[in-house]
Amino acid sequence: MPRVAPDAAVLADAHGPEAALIGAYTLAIASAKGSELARLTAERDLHRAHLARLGARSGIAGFTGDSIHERLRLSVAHLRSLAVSAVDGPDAAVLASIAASHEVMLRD
Amino acid sequence: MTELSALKAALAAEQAIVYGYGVVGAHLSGKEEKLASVLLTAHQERRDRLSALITSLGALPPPALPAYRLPFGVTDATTARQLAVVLEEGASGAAWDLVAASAPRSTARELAVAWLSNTAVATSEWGHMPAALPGAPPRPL
Repeated sequence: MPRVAPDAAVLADAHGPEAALIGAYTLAIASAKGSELARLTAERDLHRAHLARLGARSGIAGFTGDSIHERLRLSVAHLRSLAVSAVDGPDAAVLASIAASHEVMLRD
Repeated sequence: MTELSALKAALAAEQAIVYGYGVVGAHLSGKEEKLASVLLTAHQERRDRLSALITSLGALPPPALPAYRLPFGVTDATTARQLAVVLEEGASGAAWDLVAASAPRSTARELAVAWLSNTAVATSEWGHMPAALPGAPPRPL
């Protein structure tokens, strides 16, 4: 019998905000220049790595109404909460680590 | 790895980091010395919380060593900053392990989740951008 991943719903809950962040970065990159363009592009690559580690397929559409900073701020709290409650330890570590990465970007 | 063994490993890591920050701070001045001092205090507080958590589980916290072997010679501000990055990356690894080994919604899990964010931010404050997943294996030596 196939094993049901205990945190499948938790990980799926983290997909949407990460995909939305990628969308927000893509929107900002379109009008950025110079060092800001480089920073945003590097950070979007990190979010793509986060989404892949969460097991999401690429191409999830994300709403991009809020600012990047606001989305990052909200995602840190959300991801930390998911990390604290995740049943599987390695899943929890991935979620906590993505929260940590987002927190670093908030300080930029 | 059990939660208790991860807590002991985390405590040992923080004891070594506290020692290392003493060396880091001695080679810095101005704003960087202040940053080292603030981070040293944060690591001391976390060390004490980890020690208390181990005690609350009915176990004995391992004592700190009198001295620790540094990964390279620290002789000036440049090598001091490099050591600070190594210390914070080591803390990220220990925090990751503690998150992975601790029970959901436990005090240890909550502490480790916050610790991972704090060490990633501290790594960046020393001018080094953390990896996409701070603390994740495989890790630098």
